[in-house]
Amino acid sequence: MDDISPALLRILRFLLERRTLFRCLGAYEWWLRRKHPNPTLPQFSYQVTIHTIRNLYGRRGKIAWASLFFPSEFLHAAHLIPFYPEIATGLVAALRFVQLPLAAAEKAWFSQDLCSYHRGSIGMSLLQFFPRPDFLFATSSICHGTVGFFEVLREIWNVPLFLVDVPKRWTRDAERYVAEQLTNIARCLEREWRVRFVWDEPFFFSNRTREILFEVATLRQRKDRMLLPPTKNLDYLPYYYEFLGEETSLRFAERLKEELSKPSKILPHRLVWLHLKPFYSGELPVLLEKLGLGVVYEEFTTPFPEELSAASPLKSLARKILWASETLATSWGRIPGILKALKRYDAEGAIQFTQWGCRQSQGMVMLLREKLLEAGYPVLLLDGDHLDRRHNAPEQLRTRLEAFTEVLEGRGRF
Amino acid sequence: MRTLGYFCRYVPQELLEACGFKAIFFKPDFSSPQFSSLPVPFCALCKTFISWALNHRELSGFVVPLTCDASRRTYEILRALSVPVFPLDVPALPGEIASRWLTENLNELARELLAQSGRSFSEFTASLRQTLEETLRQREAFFREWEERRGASNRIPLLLSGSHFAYALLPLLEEKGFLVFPDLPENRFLLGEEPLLLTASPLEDLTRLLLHRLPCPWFSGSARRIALKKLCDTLGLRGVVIVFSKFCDFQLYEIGLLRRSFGLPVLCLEHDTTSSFPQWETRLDAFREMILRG
Repeated sequence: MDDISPALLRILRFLLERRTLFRCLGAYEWWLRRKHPNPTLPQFSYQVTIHTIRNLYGRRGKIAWASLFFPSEFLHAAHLIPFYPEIATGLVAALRFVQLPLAAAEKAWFSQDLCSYHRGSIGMSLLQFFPRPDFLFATSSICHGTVGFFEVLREIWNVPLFLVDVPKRWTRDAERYVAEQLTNIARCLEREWRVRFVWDEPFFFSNRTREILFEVATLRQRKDRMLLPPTKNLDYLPYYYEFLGEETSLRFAERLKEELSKPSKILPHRLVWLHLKPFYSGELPVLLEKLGLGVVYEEFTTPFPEELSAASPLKSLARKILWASETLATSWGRIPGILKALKRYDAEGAIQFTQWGCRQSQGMVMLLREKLLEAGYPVLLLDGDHLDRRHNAPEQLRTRLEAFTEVLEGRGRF
Repeated sequence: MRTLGYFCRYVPQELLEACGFKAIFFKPDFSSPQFSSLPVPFCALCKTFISWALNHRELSGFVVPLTCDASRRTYEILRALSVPVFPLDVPALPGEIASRWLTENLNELARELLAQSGRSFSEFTASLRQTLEETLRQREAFFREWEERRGASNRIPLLLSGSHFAYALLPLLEEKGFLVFPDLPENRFLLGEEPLLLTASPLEDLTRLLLHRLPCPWFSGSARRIALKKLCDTLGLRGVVIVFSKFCDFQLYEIGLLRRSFGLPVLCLEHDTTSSFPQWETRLDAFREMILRG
């Protein structure tokens, strides 16, 4: 699917702009609901995908693109349709289509050394395959490269960009600073675009989803409750980010809990998965399962520990943004959190598939390895790209995973 | 005298001096040793800065901004290696809220440094006022000197923009017949659009100076591109050479955007921790011909 003729590109672009075409998906959605009134998790995910495509390409509301750690509750409260380009590009990679937008971005002088999540999204924007945004929202939380990425999107789409600058240390002053920025953004939307914020429902759904996800986390601490194949939970990222604050995430969490209510196959090794994974490859989860490497916790799917308060919504969201920044992107927040998770889930070690273009995670590799080894946990740091399969080395990956398995077995944990 | 090392244009030398320290700006070159525990796809500046800091423990400390991902990690690594390091959180946005935030952080940094140097806060504010006045005087002198050189030379005037390693190209550019106007990290004198007037509050003045400095590509918004274009137009520059670090995301994004906005020939030269002088020489020759042919 990587080589598409210019004529076919034009046809695709033409079809993607036809709102009515996508609004007709409503009939298909209705039929799916009738066929599967009580869908399993995969069936539910499929229904959600169709519904999301209908909303976005049918332009059933104003569309807000957001960076991964911009809280979706804000967008739902503003009755905007959220679209997270980094997640969507992961899906494009899973459909084995991402080389085309990557090439489009490189042709426009965006270097191969940039993060492929961002490059892929830039390419999809240049090709006009992603739904046109009405607004852009981003934070500098976790990864500051997101700011540069969204600046480029602003130039391409020529729409307003609302940026939240997130301090690297979580203090009360930092909370006030972030909350002030969110307030400014909300006021600007109210004044210029007559947006009305309604917080109760998104916060209700987000809080309730959070509660169930904590129950799911408790279940996963049991030896006989594993999500399979390993790293499967990372395929559900939209529910942890984009749909959080909507009933969709709540329904997902309920189904996930139901799936874990039954005993699963037990894999001999319990591991914590750091960062994300290669989305273009179905081979990695199969290989992990074959080697007996089960994943019991992923840091990117950890829910925010506090309840969001509709009484002080922007302060709550400021705390959420700062929490994510500290927990995932500072050594003093992230490493103790990983150590706690290793203990809580009775895990033997950790795997991180370090994304080539991700400076913030590349820069922490040394400290991470040192602290985990000091605490007695082996850690496997794999290198490659999550989306660009040109950087894929399957045999090398297999060799390293096999060697890691031998290390775990040599420690006599099972 | 107590000394502090730093590498970033957002770390105010004026503040460090007003706190009673000598400020040493880190200028790496392609033979500078690197900190080997960082992976390949990581900022060359930070790899060399960390190595430099570890080899210069005689300095009282280092001031590292919490700006881009690489500088953030630099701070964390130095801290973990028990090197005295002072962080400075710098906002990535312009605006009133960001200015207030930066002033608070500058105040916090000043107090930490004054606790080390033993100077009083009132001595600090008086000294800061003087160093800010000196910065503005030096800025005027810098532009005067440039105009004099421009007037006296028939070389091709060029903007050199880029990383901390870019200054290593200055002799080569001069050899090729260019007159270079440097937009380099150690150049504190390039300001953006608005002139700076000093008030009764030196810390707020310093905030405005920092946020009006020609921004680093990391800083959000189009201010840098607009300011560079205006600089080229005002100074009559005929081309732009960007020397960029292979793993600096902000320079990489900027190149994708700049090529459309300059209206001048642009040459991009990439580096990591090593140079490619023979290749650069060839490309500069071709670039010179391109400019002369118009």
